[in-house]
Amino acid sequence: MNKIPTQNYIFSLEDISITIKGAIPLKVSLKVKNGDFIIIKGKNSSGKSMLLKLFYLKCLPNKGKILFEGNELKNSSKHLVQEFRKKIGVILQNDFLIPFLNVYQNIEIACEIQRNTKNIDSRMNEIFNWLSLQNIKNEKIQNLSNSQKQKVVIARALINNPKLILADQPETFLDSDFRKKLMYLFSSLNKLGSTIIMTTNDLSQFDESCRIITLDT
Amino acid sequence: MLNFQALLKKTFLINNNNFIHGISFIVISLIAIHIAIFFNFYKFSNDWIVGESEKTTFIISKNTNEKVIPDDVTLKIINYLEENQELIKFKILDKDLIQESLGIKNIDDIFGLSLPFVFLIQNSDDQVVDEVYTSVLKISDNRIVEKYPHKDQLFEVVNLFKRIKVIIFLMLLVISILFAFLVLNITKAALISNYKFLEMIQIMGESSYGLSKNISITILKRILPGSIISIIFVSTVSSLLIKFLGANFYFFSDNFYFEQTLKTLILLIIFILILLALLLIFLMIYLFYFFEKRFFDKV
Repeated sequence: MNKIPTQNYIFSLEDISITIKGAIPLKVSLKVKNGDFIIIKGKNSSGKSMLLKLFYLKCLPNKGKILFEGNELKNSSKHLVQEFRKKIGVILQNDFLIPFLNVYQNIEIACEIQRNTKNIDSRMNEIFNWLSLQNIKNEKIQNLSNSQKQKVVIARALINNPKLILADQPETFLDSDFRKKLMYLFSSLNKLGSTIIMTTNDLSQFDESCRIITLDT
Repeated sequence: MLNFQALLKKTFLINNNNFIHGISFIVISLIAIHIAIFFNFYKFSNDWIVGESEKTTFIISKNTNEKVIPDDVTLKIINYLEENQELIKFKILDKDLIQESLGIKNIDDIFGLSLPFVFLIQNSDDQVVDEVYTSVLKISDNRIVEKYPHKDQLFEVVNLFKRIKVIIFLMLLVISILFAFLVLNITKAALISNYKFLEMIQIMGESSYGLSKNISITILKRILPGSIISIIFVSTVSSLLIKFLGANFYFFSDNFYFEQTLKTLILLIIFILILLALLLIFLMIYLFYFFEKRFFDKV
């Protein structure tokens, strides 16, 4: 596949048209650089989650094109997509956790699938401390509260130190103290070089250095 | 370390575990029974046809001026056959045997019926049969000697055997296809109920090939216990049937019986392994297509 010069862009969305039920199609053109912190805001059903889907390369647009790391997203580029997905951390709304496995095992899945099993215990301890999961690491998911489950989803996305973090309303179910903590964590990761794209309805925690994209449909 | 295979084993089809064990035992038993019947029948019919096609019946008729063939002639023929019994197997069909098989036992006591001298030989070499014919003709002092090779009569029987084999094979094929579709439907239901989990794994970067391979192996591992038990069950039942009912005419000695039972068991294992391998390939293709189709959503 021919590489397209991208000047450090991780993503380039060109004239993408997103169709949301009962709304006018949303036209998107957007470039994402390494180290960007992008916040996508908008009303409910405005297409935030759909836009985020484009970033974790789940959607193949009918119109327009997506360039990721200089490669054009096509039906034939599945192998490159798989490799790309292994390098990202995704936090989705109502994300799936395996109820009969414990917290540790649920996070371990990401290491197994993304073939990153070195120093797993030290990485686990680090992330457990960040997200205050140390006390419940052996607890089964079915016994956890919604906020604890959300923390496990976040931990699973971050365990492999992804260079790109995609989060769909990660603050859901979290209390205000922990929201602040999470946004501080994201800011720190961003300062360390991670690119972050997230959707949210709560803009109170962010400073002006973030790129904010508002979806109006 | 959590193994991906182990994870799928814990997640996939856990509610249907006993059902899958049971259904795989029943269906694989059915398939195995057909294979056992097919091979026993195949062996029996082949042996029978080969044996039968080597046989030739000789009928020596009396001269018109004789009431019966003189004893010295029949004795000479028997002596000739006995002298050559290393080369040719023979059997004299005596008067009682012929009358019994024709259902006319004791009838000559009333009507004074006299029968020709009949014997059959078994040899696959036409030259030997011709030699026997010439010698018998000479010994019998040019009485009428008729020669009937059995292979001429076997055409219809061979056709019938072929038809039976085709029917058994078709039944085997139909059950195998039904089994494949049953497994496919169970898999489809499991895929739908676990779709969120599988989609999450796909988003994490697992390939369609990796997913299809791991899920297919997981399903096959669930089918395997039932299959092993069904092979043991069918081979035990078929060997017991052969032993006690004498269903197979060729088990004269215990050694041969043991060898044949072992052979059936090995054949069953080979065929079930081939069947499971085909099922694995079939499942992998289906699942690969399933995940490839869902790799991207269209917007």
